[in-house]
Amino acid sequence: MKSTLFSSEEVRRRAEDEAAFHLEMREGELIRKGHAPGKARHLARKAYGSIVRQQEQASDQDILAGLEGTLRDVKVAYRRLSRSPLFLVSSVLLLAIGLGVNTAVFSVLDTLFLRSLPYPNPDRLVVIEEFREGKISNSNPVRLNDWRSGVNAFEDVASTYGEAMQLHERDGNRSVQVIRVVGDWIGMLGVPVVQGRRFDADELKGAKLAMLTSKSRDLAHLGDNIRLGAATYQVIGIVDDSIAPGEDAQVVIPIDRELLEGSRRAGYLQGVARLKPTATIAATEAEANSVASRLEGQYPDTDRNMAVRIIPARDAWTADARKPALYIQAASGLLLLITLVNLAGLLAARALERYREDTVRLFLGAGRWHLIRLHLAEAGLLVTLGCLAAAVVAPWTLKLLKANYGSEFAPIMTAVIDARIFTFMIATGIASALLFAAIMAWQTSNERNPRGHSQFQLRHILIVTEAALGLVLLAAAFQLVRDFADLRFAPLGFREQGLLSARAYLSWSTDQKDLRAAVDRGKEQISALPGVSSVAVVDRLPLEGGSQDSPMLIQGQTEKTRDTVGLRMVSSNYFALMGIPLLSGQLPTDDNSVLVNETFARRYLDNSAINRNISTDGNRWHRIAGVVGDVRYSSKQSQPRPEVFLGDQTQFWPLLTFVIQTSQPASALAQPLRGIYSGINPDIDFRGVSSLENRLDEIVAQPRRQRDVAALFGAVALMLVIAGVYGMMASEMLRRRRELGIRIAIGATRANIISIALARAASLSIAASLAGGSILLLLLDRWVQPTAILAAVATVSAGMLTAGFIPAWRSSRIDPILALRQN
Amino acid sequence: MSTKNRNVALSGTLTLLVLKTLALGEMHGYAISNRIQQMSSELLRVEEGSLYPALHRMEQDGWISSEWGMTESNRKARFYKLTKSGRQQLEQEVESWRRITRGVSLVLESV
Repeated sequence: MKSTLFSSEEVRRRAEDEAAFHLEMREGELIRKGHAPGKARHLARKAYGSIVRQQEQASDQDILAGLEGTLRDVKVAYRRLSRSPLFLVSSVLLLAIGLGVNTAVFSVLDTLFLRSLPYPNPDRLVVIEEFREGKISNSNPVRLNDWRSGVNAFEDVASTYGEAMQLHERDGNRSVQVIRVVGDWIGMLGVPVVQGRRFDADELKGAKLAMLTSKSRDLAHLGDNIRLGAATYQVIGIVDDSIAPGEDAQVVIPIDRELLEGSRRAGYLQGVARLKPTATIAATEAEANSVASRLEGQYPDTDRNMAVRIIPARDAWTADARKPALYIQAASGLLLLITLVNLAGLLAARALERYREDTVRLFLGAGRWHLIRLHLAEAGLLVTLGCLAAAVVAPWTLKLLKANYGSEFAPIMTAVIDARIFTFMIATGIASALLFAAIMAWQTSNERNPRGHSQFQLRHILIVTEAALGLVLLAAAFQLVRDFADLRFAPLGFREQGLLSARAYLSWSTDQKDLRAAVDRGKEQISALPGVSSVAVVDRLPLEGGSQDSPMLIQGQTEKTRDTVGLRMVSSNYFALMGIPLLSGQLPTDDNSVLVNETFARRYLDNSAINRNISTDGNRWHRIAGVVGDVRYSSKQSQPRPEVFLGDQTQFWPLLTFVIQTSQPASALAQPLRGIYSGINPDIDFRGVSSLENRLDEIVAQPRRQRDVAALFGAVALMLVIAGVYGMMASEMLRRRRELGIRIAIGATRANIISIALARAASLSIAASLAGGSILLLLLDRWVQPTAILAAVATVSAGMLTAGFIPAWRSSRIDPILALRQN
Repeated sequence: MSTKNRNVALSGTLTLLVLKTLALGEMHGYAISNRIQQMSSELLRVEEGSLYPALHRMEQDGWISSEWGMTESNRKARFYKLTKSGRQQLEQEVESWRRITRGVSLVLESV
């Protein structure tokens, strides 16, 4: 006769009581026999432990029972989980964030770095890097020809460059992005021709033909004539978008004939070559360098001191992305680690909560493996839910990454969540969760000390690890915040307010005469607009970088300056406009006079620069008329470079920026400017007008983004650490309830209790600061400064102490009677 | 005899031993295992892991009942005692045991 006399709750409690009683009696007996109390306790439990091992040998025999058992375990696990919603939700969220974010990040990295180029035999494609006097420099069509004919290992050599041109349509002009091909780029790379045909060998020499990219196929029909810039082109085909992966290319046309046979001095191309099937990079590089020596002899003026490096195309094209990618990879990895550590902590807390229940199960004959299976079932269920949630987080993160980095690293736009990577992440999550759960369960069944003391030691180590890693992320974030502040907000040397900037880019084929006319008429007409007080022309705005530079010859010195000096073309009223002080001398009054900046005067002329003469080539000399204040010109440097300012008539790059002093807002000037531009030259690409502050903000967008991403990672890490510390302190207070109850009963004040409890949080935060600080100082000292480290230490410590304070405060209010009774 | 072998032999007879022990009077779990050890002149040792599941099963089957009491050292504990159906079960089990052992001895003695 079987009766269900008892609810399972009662059964549990009863069995617990019996177990406790039995152990006590056994202990008492051993003590009476002469054992020390601690030893007695240990022996009593050991005897109890060995029984469990025998039990499980008996129960392992029935496989069928085992399977049934597993299903039942899952059901039990589900019930247990649904009774602890906080634990469930926090674990699932944790896994979702950790796994999801990492999947997205690594998918993007895979696309950027590991995916091969979308062309046939992509590993045969290389980039030809030319170096002059040790510094990398650009090439031109004439020299590319020399490479093609001189280096046997090259099957072919080609190149491209981009420009914005005006497409003249019936209802107005539109700016389109054009790719000029030099040599048989399309054929060499193997870019598919979607419709029509590509340029043949003759046509590549400047024929007025065009191809459209696939995504711009609606610009015109095959056979149509389109007016681009100053000429008309016939559309002969449509080429695949992979001609410029991820970039905004719309039309493809051959380089102009004149440029093909242009000067050897020109530098605006980078050669790309396809190696013959048997050629090695090393051998090719050697061959190319011997050709370079030959060219040096043939053309001493232009090809002197030239060296060549051959680099696989994929490496060269992803070089820019490497550093930010490395950072994101490291940060994601750390975040994943923190996630796993936090998960371990959560599972440990879980094991502790369930300690009583588990002890009971063991007593009722559950066997150690059964207990472990139960914990595994619960962990498995958690991880499954976590992975499902991660499957949502991952695509969302990918969208975020694309939105933020897509404009800069075009290939990202083609990235998708990679199935292999997702699988790997899931596997990691599952493996970690199961491992942790198994360890916790094992420890429970092995317990020598009451209430899982060694589990707490484990959790302490976990928290310290987690906090140290979080500290590293936070320090990096602080460093980037500081760097960005320095970059954008430190004194720049000029005034930002009250100025507008308007870019005007002419086509590269504009001749000098037209360029000069554009500068003059632009200034004249813009200053005639209402509300405009002054207009200057400059080749590049501060922080924009990319100016021309060259070593200078100073009269009286035989050697050129060792460093290159920035050459700027500016109107003479530019300095007054921008609030850059004229420190000595006067503004130039003729074409031969120039200005230099403070750094130049100090470094090369011992601060007595006026009336000295300088030159770039030794033929044409300029007199220094005055010295102006330093300004920061490149976002990559925080110190000003030496610079020389020539007049705006020497401008020969067709990229102008007008700086306009006016009280009007940018929107008011947009229409009038557009009108002025088209009046001057129908091919000007009007890039809009904005305030100088906005334009500068745009220029530093990339460092700002990096700062924001770093700050995000740091903030998430900090939150995880705080959550982890809170959870652990709460459990620990639970464990020490009896002890604290006794203390209160014998007279401890609330402050005493809080300080005892906080002592734990404090010691953990000290340990974490030491660990994290050491990592930063020893391994990362090149990237993170001490102030950032200190700030991070302060933040993490404050966070940990705050997180520990609440459980501490709560435990100071416990009723000692209740605490003692609930043992 | 190794611990393992001892347990295998014991598992089928634990119920019997417990019932018999309780026939002598009410007692708590720890005392039951001690008494069995004592009565068997230390030949038998009941392991904690088997005892309580057995007690639980027997209580569910209605052969024993339990209630709270105080030990000699004034510690609260659960005391078990035989029910009426428990006494009947004891007689049946003793009878089976005698039959089995008689049969086994006969087999072993035949040459």
